[in-house]
Amino acid sequence: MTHVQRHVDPTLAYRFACRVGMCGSCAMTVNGRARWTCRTHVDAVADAGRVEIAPLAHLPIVRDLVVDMSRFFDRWAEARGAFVPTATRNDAFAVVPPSAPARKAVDAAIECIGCGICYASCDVVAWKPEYLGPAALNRAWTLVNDARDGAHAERLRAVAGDAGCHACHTQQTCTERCPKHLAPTGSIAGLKRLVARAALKGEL
Amino acid sequence: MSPHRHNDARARAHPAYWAFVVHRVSGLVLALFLPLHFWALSQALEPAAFDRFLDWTRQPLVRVTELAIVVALAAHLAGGIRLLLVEFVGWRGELQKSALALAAAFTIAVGVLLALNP
Amino acid sequence: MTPVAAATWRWLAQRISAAVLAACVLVHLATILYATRHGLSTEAILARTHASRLWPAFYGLFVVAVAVHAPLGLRVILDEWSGLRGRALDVLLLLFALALLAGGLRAVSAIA
Repeated sequence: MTHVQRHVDPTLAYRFACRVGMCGSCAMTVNGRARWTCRTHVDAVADAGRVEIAPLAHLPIVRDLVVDMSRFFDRWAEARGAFVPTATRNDAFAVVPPSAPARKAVDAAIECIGCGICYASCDVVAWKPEYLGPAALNRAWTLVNDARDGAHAERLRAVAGDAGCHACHTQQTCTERCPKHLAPTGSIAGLKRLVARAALKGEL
Repeated sequence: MSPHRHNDARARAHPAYWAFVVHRVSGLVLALFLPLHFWALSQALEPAAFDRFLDWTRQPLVRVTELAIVVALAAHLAGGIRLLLVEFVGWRGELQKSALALAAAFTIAVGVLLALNP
Repeated sequence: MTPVAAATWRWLAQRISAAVLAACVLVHLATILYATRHGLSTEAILARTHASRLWPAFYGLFVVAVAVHAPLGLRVILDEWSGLRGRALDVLLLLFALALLAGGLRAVSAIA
């Protein structure tokens, strides 16, 4: 990307920051698949000597390779993807054993940096603009499993429904493409279980 | 949605996605086939009419379609069990490829069994 | 019932009917393969299904599960790939469910 901007077209607009696979800014479509360009070797993905670079799918294009990520984060907010505290500074520290099943579930999904690759790879996002998407649902999963969080019931209501976890068809493109090797598919399946349990208990 | 890029086949070229397509297409085929199937079976209420109907089903084209429908059924069943396991038992990343392979193997086995026993 | 609760119950109904159908289909596939391998005639098959009330009971359950599962599956496809929404979609699928139930139970009566 930097080579293109320096030697081919100085007007090229693209996002790029840490260059070491930590920030997720450089997520784009390379030869048809969403990737981090900073961690993609050209010779590993070149298709018959050609590399096609395009913006991330499903998000409005601002210019060239830059997309507007607002919608991606709006879905995150709609899924109640923010921690709701219950303790104060006067309470003792929360004790959460790392080996607890719920904590293990959180740990397996917590490393998301919000790069948007999964969202750009999901067909349900393409077919249903209101779909919350894999990243938002994955984050919600880490929060409903967090023993310290105080909004479990509202969050389950937020992620259920035809625009939420029930719209996932286990296509697994999100899991296939995630550069952090997370499994939003698994997180969403977990949400389906929790939502169903809540419905059966009349708590939804 | 405002102008944005769409994905093409390259983004969808992985086994779990093919499994999704198989599951959806087979489901659609079965859903459309069932009313026909129920009608055909209720022809058995009138034995003479049913025997005429059965004679008609011995045509090669009908036999091939029957095989396709049974394969669709096996595929939808195997894929469906895989989905039920993911949704109710839980996600195990390392088992996903094996689950897909098993579902495919079951489908092919049913198809071969029926093809060899016309 | 809130829309998300309704969606959750639909999902649950789809999965429960799927589990019932998984069992029914395995039995059905086995019986079809058995019948074709042994070259059973119509009379032979009907003689066996007439002989026990378990057969109509089994196929009756099969039909009910199908009448739940197929329309819900079609609903997802139509919701995503067609312009049909809300009321129109629900009515169409209810009609399809009733058609499957009626047609299926009639077929079951043929083997009872």
